[in-house]
Amino acid sequence: MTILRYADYEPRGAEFDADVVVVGTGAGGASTGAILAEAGLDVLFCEEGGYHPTGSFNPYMTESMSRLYRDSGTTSILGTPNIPYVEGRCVGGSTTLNGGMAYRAPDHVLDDWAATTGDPTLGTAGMERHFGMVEESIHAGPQHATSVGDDNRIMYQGAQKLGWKSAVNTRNQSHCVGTNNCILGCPTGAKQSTLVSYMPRAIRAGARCLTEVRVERLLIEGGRCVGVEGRAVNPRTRAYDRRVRVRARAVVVSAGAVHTPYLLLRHKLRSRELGRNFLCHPNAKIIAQYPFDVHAWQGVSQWSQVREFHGDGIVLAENMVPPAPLAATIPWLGREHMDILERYNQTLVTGCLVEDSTTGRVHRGPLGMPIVRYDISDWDFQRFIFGTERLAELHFAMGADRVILPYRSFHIARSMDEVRRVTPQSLKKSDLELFTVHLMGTTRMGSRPESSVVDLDGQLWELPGCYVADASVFPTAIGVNPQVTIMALGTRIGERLATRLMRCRHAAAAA
Amino acid sequence: MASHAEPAPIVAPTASPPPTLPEREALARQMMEATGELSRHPGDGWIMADPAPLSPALVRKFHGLIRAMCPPEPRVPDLEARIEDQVRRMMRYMQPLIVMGFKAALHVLDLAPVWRGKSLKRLQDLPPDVGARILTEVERARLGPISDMVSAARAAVLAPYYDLDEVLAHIGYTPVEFMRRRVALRRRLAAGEAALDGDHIGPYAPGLRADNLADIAVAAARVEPQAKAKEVAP
Ligand SMILES: Cc1cc2nc3c(=O)[nH]c(=O)nc-3n(C[C@H](O)[C@H](O)[C@H](O)COP(=O)(O)OP(=O)(O)OC[C@H]3O[C@@H](n4cnc5c(N)ncnc54)[C@H](O)[C@@H]3O)c2cc1C
Ligand code: SF4
Repeated sequence: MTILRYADYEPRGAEFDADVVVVGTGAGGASTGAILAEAGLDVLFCEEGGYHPTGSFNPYMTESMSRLYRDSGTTSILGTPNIPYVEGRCVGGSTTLNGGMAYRAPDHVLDDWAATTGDPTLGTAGMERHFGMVEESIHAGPQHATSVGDDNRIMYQGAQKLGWKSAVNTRNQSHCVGTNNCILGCPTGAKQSTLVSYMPRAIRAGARCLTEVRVERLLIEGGRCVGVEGRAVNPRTRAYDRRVRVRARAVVVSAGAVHTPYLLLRHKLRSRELGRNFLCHPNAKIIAQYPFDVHAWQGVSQWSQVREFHGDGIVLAENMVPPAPLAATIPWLGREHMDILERYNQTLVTGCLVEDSTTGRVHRGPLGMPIVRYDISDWDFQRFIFGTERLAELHFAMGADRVILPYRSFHIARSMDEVRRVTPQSLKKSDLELFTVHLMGTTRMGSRPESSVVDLDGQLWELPGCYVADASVFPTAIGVNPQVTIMALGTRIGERLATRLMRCRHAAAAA
Repeated sequence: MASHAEPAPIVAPTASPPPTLPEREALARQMMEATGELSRHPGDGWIMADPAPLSPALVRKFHGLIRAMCPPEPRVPDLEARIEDQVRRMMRYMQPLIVMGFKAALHVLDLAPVWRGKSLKRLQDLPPDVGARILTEVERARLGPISDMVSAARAAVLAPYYDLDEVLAHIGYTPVEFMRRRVALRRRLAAGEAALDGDHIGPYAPGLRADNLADIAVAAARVEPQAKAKEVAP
């Protein structure tokens, strides 16, 4: 069988064998695994989440959260303020439920990576081929006009009215028709998540996938990583009660920027950088209500982004979500809560994304729980207040009658005068309500073991045979949506590993 | 340096035989196929967890919290039981520490009327509107983790509430029909058909019609060539 589930594993323990075992099937794991499988290697994915094909996606949130999201979406970063985050736990990882924005890391970031590592192949020109391969695989391109709704029109025309620059997004989609269900899985098959792009490629090339298996440790023999071990989860009780072991010639860990360091930290590696350099590109939500219907749930999320303030690391964008996740974040209870949600068809959810100016850290916590620490800087705090004010300005310019601000102590504003009452002096950092979905940078790539965790091939300096290919290898913040850059690095790591393993195979055959 | 060590040579073929080509093709197609079912409980072979255990006393506290937090209208049959069932299933997927925190919140918030000095009755015994007022006050009082408990409990209760069919109908969110039409539209576009006027979304809002489509065409043309990939049929 190609995709296995809990019932397929022997109760007394299951053993597998492969050339390469890839932990995780998200942006990093699937792209690396597909390259390796297409090079002729026997690839086995180990995925903690379940397998849910396109036909299973639907607009209902409650069950979808448990099916698709880690811990039913109850994960949070600790700091000032605490920042709730979500990530995928299913085949396709976070790409199955992401918004589909498909951006390369900016040239200045790549050139900085090339300069600090001394490796020109990490620079703009050096990464060109890998970005091209990714964009072709995931069909990165502009949206068709039929996918554009009033949410997009308001954002784009509002920016025009205020004389601000906008950028039309490229998204990984093929004939997206604007159902705006990206965060619960694309029900049309348009969004080219790894579930419908890299994973089918890998499967066609012979890869297999163990699902519902959480990898808990690496197998290390003679100082070399030779496989992984974990347990499969009983779907009814959620008890991890069936042992699964995979032996392989190489292990690629692609569990994301929180769970990759969590797994590696178990092995008491000496690298002081492991788990550090955590980046999360936080986001503040500004909800606007208009005195007319906008039906913002019809039409693709983020057809464009406001890039006027990008020089300061601020991006403004529309992020419409279904009623249930919106209800979870709106203050008030009972009748007052319904007063807001009764106007759902007049509501537009938007966000202000701020590029990291600081870093946090991932630790191993009690009872199998990672602890993530991150505090925003004073500059971030000021930029959130500035960005929130600009978004409110756009909404009032387009005719909104009220906005709900992301401040615990001050929620509703009916005019710009009210919005301007909020200043960095009148507010505390802990008053900010933030959220994030872009987790990066905890096993950074570099050319020196003192300042990085993996080398330029993605291999751990301290553990031969163990590679990392996911958002955690970013050397620094990129300031834009990360999936394309993760896939490009995954492609690069996959190609280099394939060359190395095939060379060994040929050498063995010749011998 | 350790990382330059070569991996062990592959001396034997891998143990398990690869799946057959037709099997792999069928699976790849299934991964991508839009069925338009949009079912609340999809039949993809995945099994939803059983409800997590909760003592009868905690269930009573939870029902009190649900009544205080949910809006009085629209009236939903079996409201408490339906939300309780959803949340207890979701609890199976959460970290044990978070589940402990949730149970602690049920105890603490049930006694909120007493320790706030508002009533000698527990939340579960108060009329919902009185309970809602007390919880709102606790949240606004900035009592650190206790105020955070109200925010977390709101997410746990109101997210499933606004996912109930009756409530979605009440607020005018009717995605299923819309999505079915869009699944059909995508099939047509992928088959090479041109879009019809009626395939566009809106505009609904006044003042947005005029320059809408022209803008989109102009803006799309400005997208940098590197980011433009060819449109490929699925
Ligand atoms: C709601 C949302 C919207 C987003 N929108 C965008 C966007 O528009 N554009 C963009 O570029 N990015 C977006 N992102 C971010 C992007 O999707 C992620 O940055 C990217 O997918 C991360 O890739 P990854 O490989 O590091 O991890 P993931 O894609 O999260 O994959 C990690 C996988 O590893 C599995 N795993 C973890 N631990 C284990 C273990 N111990 N054993 C086995 N398996 C394990 C997980 O289940 C998961 O499937 C969004 C993310 C979310 C959640
Ligand atoms: S808007 Fe709808 S069709 Fe387009 S990618 Fe998102 S979920 Fe798929």
